Amino acid sequence: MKVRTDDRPDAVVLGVDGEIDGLTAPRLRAAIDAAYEQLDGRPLVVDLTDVTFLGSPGLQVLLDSAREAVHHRGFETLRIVVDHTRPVVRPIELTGLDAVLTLFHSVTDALDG
Amino acid sequence: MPSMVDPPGASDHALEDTSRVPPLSDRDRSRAHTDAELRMTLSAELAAPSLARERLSRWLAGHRWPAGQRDDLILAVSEAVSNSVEHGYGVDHGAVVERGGPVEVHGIVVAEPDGRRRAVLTVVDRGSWLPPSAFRGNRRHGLPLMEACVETLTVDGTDGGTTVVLRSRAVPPPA
Repeated sequence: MKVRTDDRPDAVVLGVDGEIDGLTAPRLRAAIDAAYEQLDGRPLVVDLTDVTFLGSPGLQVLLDSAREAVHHRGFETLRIVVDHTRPVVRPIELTGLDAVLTLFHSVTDALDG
Repeated sequence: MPSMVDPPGASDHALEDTSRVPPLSDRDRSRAHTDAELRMTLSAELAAPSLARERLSRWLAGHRWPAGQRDDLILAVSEAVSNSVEHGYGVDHGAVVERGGPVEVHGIVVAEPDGRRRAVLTVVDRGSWLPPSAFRGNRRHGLPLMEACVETLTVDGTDGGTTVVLRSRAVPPPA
């Protein structure tokens, strides 16, 4: 799993590539935490469109990070981009997290939000 | 009419290519279909779920499993193997990593009378499973997720280990 950080004037976008499971989820969490330190009022977008697997450790990282943003750091909520054709949406929907997380279909949509 | 000539070596068993499966009769073909089992023995390491996913994916593709159903089974088995590694054997990032006993994954395809098929995946460990109420935060979604991915899920935990049996939804016969 790889995480690319795109430091833009209007947002910080983390592009995630590969599989998010128990082994790799902590690295995603670390990347999100590092991004939180440098937001300076910008929104954080996590782009999962190149993710090929998302298991419960990854779901928990997304949920914990979203809660941390709002409840502990006073940020606006984490924006998560998912591509409908990928096996990423399925676990999110099966666990009902689509009602809890703020999801977008594209980075463009996430930045317009 | 062209004459049928055997290619050189076709009847020479000493030169038989052992990687080629001999042609099957129809009856054997349907049995071989359900005989093509998946068997994996994995060390209890954090990379185990990833190995399981990869092999399961290839096995299901070999059985011409529909892609969406494949994803669901891969997710469910990955969760089960993760549970075995993290709870059965206590292997985690922060803890002293001790190579736990093996996690065994077994898969078969079962044919139904109407020709549809199901996969039955079994994940066995010999660790000490914690009851669901003791699950830490990062496992909260594991069991419900597994359950939603399959037709039936059974979890049999004892002091001697845990057996998880995942029975998939039915899929059409291979095209």
